[in-house]
Amino acid sequence: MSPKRLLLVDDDADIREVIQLSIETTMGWEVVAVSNGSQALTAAAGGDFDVILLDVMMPGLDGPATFLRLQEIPKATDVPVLLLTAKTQRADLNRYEDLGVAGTLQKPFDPVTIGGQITEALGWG
Amino acid sequence: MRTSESSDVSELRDDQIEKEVREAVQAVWLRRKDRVMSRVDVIAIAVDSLLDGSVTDSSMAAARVEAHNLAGALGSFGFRRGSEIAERIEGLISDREPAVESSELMRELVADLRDELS
Repeated sequence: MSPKRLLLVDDDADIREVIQLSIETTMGWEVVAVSNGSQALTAAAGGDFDVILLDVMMPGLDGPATFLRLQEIPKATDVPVLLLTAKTQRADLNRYEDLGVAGTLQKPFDPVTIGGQITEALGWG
Repeated sequence: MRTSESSDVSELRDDQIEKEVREAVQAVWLRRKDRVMSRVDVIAIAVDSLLDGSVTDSSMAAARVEAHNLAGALGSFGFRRGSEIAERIEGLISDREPAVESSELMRELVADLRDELS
């Protein structure tokens, strides 16, 4: 069985590196990391991803805007999207849920457990 | 007993994986620490300019972005208190016109943040 593929979208290089090594080490998944919404759209159109982890606050196309654009891409429509939110954005959680995302994960996260948080949020065994 | 042994092996593997992740994250921190401290510098410069009346909208906007990013990242490197301090700074910077008292508090928080990360 081939490992799951995760598309990581975050403008913060530190976060990208930590999440990538965490997921690859703890879950054995393949992680493709990009730094902005436009790159995310390109990656999603060309790849078969099992999940997309999308930062909310990014310059240009922010997380919610990127999510809406992803829904227009046939290969990405059925891919669950989890938003990465900072504590200060918790008031917006209802708005994110109304968008149709699969769930939200909070920053800062524990690199040891973030993989488990993803599987739990998605209801994966 | 097989069940107990399987559980022990599983626990040992989990411990090994945790150790591997923590060591890898520590290595990332050591490599990126200077860049993180540069982010703190951006905040410090904006706060100083706020106190001496020379602040610009762009410097405060940049400081808010860095405070936000630090709040979201530091806890993942093991600096949970660092994240909390950065979050407080972000909240104070978000005021359109921070009071002088807030500016003094921001300066103290920046100093606390530097101590936390050093």
